[in-house]
Amino acid sequence: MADFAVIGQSVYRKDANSKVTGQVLHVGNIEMPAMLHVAVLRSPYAHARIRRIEKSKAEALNSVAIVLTGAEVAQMPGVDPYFGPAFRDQPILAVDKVCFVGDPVIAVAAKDRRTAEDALQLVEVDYEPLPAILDLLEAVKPESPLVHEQHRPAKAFADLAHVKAGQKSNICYQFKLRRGDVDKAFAAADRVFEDTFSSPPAQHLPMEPHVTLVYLDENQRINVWTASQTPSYVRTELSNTFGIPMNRIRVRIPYLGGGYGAKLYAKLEPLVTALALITKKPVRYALTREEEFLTITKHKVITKIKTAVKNGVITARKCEVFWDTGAYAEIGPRVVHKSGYTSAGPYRIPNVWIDSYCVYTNHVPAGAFRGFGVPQVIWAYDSQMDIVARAIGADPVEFRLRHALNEGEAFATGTPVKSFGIKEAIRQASKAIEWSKPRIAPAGSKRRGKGIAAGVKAVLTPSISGAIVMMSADGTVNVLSSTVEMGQGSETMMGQIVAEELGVSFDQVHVVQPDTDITPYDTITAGSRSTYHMGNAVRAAAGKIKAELFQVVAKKLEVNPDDLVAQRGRIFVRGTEERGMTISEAFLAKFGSLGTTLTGEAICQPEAIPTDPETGQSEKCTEYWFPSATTAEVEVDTDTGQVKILQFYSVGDTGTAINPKHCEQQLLGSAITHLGLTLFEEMIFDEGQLVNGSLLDYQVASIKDLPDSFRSIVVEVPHETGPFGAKGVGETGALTVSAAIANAIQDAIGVRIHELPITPEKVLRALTQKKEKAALERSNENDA
Amino acid sequence: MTIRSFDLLQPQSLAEASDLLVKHGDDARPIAGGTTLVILMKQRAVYYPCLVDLQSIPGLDGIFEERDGIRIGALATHRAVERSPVVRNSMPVVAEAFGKIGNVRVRQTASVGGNLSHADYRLDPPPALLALEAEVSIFGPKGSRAIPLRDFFRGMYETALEPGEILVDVKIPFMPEGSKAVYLKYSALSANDWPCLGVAALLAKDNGRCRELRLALGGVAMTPVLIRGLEFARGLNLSDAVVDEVLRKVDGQISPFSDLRGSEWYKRQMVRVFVKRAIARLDSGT
Amino acid sequence: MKMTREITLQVNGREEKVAVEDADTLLEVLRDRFKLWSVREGCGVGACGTCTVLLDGRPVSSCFLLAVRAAGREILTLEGLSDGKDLHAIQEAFVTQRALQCAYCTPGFVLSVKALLDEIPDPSDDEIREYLSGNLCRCAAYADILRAIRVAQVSSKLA
Repeated sequence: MADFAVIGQSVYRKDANSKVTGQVLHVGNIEMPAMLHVAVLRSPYAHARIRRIEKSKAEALNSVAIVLTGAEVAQMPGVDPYFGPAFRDQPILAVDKVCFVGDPVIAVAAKDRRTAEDALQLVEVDYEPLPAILDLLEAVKPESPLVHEQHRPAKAFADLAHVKAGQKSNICYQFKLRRGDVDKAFAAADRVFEDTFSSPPAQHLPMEPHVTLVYLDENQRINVWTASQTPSYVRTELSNTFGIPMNRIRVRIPYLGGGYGAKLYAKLEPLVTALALITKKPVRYALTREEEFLTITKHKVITKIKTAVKNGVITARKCEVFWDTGAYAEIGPRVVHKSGYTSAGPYRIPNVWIDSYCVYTNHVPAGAFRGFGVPQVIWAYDSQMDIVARAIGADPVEFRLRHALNEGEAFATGTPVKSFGIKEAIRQASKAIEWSKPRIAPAGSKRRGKGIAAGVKAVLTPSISGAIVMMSADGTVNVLSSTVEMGQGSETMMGQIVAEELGVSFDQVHVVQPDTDITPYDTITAGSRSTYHMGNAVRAAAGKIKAELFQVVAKKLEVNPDDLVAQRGRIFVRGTEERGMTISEAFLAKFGSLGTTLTGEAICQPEAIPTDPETGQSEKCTEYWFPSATTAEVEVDTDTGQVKILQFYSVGDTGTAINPKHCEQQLLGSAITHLGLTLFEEMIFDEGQLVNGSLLDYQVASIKDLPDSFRSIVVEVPHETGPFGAKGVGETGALTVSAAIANAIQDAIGVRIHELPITPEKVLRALTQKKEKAALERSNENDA
Repeated sequence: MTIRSFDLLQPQSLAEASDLLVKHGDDARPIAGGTTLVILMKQRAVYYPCLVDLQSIPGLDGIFEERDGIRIGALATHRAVERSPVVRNSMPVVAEAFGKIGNVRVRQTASVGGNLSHADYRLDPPPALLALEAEVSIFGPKGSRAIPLRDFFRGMYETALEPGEILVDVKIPFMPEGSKAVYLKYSALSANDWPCLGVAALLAKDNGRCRELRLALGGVAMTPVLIRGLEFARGLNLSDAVVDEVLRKVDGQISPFSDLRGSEWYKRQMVRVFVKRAIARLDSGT
Repeated sequence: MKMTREITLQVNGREEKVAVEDADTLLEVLRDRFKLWSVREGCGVGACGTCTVLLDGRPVSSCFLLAVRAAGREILTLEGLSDGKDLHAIQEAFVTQRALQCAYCTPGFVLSVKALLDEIPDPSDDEIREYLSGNLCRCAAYADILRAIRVAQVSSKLA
């Protein structure tokens, strides 16, 4: 990166000082006079009709402003009581029935939180239980009772325009991919492998729970402060839900205490807005951790995967992927589509059949979890890659390299892949762990093994990022962007790109926090899309300012604007630094007044060709890919089944690394989090009731759960249309962790785990079964 | 969640505390360190209009060496026990067991008395205390009494405390001459988790033969379990055959049930593994 | 019915009288009354560490500590750590070692690291992990945090 001033530098993040002193603004710190606090009564049933609500005692409690029911929300004039990004299926408060344990039924707003919670205990609700639809594979059957009788598409996003109002079914969305002829290939195969893999529901667990504050300003406009990754969407959703013009709603978002996909689309905003509108007071609602468990989850997925091999290569793959999206679809259909079409992997397979189903059940709603569903499908396909490789005597690394797509080859969707560093990622990962070095067999009950997994995610396309950049006469810059800084370093990334483009120092660029009064539309801050999309937008917007300044300088110096460059706060003729002007001088030359500004605006809006509804084919399904590879060495204690991670390498192709240290951090951070998801995280339900809904019981990786040695490796395969060649990195490290661990365990002790999490008990059971099977075979041989 | 309003009563003596508990009956509960109880009240899972604050009574938090053992006041924190020089010197297994509870912040706040009175089946200190034949002192409306810890746990969250009674201290006799003890906590899931099970073992040897073996386990029954019938091992080498016999006895005295940390099957397997490991650790001279 | 009692809390070197209910937690009082926003609720059960404050120099979870119990004890929050001009050595190390991303857990970690180094000036890797085992970071910046601690140790010695 010798040519760049700040791109490729690991500058310190812009928000470091405010965060390390605790001065940072979070929504939970914002107080307003006469602000009301909210408590919510939630359904104790997975599926039930609401028969009767008795709330007069609660309403009579001192300092209670309102006790609101879903029926009352449904009666608010002009209000749509249902919201949602794919289907408008989620009630602001349950209207006539509840659809999962935890479904909000009653909201109290009171002077303080204690009063609100005291009031809740005085509300009586009678329910009539209904049969609960809890089994994912039963829910897809035609005879299954229904969670929802009707499906109402939301029409909020271009990429979900094809989502239809469904037939009477719990399947609210299905993605199909048909390529070649899988049946013929299976018939002709040397060997066919069939496996089922499952991944449990889990918690995003941002340390900052969801929190939203809504008030009416002096113009009676709705002002929203919310911990959300989607300012533009929140404004649109509130506008549609309450029938209020968009410019009479202002959504502001400070730094988030983590998001990971939990804080997307609308969560608390519709309810808090309703309360603010009715009480005409500021209202703030912050979830407890227990309520977080009942708000949004990572999809439980069951994958049936069938693979044909002939002459040592894979000839066909059939995947049936079932996604438990819970009681409300949230963004399930997008996850099911985007991850669905990657279900066969980044591999050369001529015949592919994929059915990916988004299924309603009476569980907590599931949505986008860091990785957007791809970790779950890679868990299936790259676990099976190892099963296949070992069965036919191929080395797992070599087998993947044999099949991994090269630049320009067609993905299962028919899209030729570009900037696709999967092979380099595999090579780096296997090199880091010294793959070919002989395994050590320690003494006693421990066994060691190495595993690799590879996989790829595709970025959400189409999507939109708009930005405005404003430069002031002293050369300092404001960036107006709706991208949300949630720890991933987006603010720093934007600062670096704009500084580079305008030739100013990083410290001269200020990134304004999202405010829908001034920051333009951005689809979402999620899916690793911001570096590319918003990075391009801010760069292009800055470029327009630069072009204007070049015009001024060119005229003044009587040179061709094409001969000018902007560096170090000056604009000058390339190669002759003294022939130029400072930025301030250029402003003065243009305006003649002090304190003037120049503004540039740009939109980055990559297009996709929609996948064919019957075949899933598209010449361009995505703008770019995230290739990922993980290698791990484990030590299994065969007495207890415990798995210790000795070495761990997370490798990702990020395109150009705008900030290399941040890219390493993102790879490693998402990978370490996914280690916990692999080894012990799961939400455990019993008849629809969550059994481990607090941090006393739900386990999260701590500093004691780190591998002995670990490292992330950034592979840079530049993307020709990414900003300075960059793509993205927020999720890449998460994708291939689970399969790598399972593959390492197979290497160590010869057992295959099909269900996450990989607990010691599962490992011990598998080992015990293996021993019993071997003993049985031995005794059969002896008998024979 | 917030805690529903209640009154914190602050007696200045055990007698006063006991009287308050009797007077308010089911409406009152003692609060010691206040971790578990406060959490339950925050979750609004339980509610008491009155909490009787034992911290306001002077002299309940000491850790004293006596002629025949160590007396730990009920209000001593886990952290105080973990770091206490007298405990670490004379019975390090007790410091170890208290040091394995939760995290450092919990240990800084939670109390010995609160822990034992809560009588959760998975707690770390009870196996170590049982293996060392600890005794608890209780004060109540009828005065003071002392009972062996093994008679203190009656069931899940049930102790021998009668209405109005308060656990005052734990007396732990010094370990037998030349003996060693260990507490193994097995957390199956994250390193920080509640245990799947805990095993405390004490072994005294003469000339390589067992003079005394004691075992106590947590997490594998409704209460912590002190294993009986290990006298047979006295005078014997702890050979594989002897250890197998120990394991048979242990297996017959535990009644594990499936919980989030392990199924009944798994717990039984792990009991075998960790009892063996505990004995091996003590027998090997490390 | 709601009775309050007046207690004196020593917070970040200042004594303040405040009227609290017996049912108020220290976390609630520090935020609602003292506006010390660095003290945060992440789990409500003492498992995550975002509510950590130092009580007489020792780390406690303020989310389950009754405020009345903190009366007369010295309370330190992150706001009280730096001298108002320069960052504390631990804060500085967190910045240079990039030991924070969303940073919601950072106040809890910084205070816990201070308590750790005050109690054990030269801790082993195991002692560090044990002491910080109850501080959760969902961004998983643990490796950077471990490095920051070693850097803070060195710079504290030089100071």
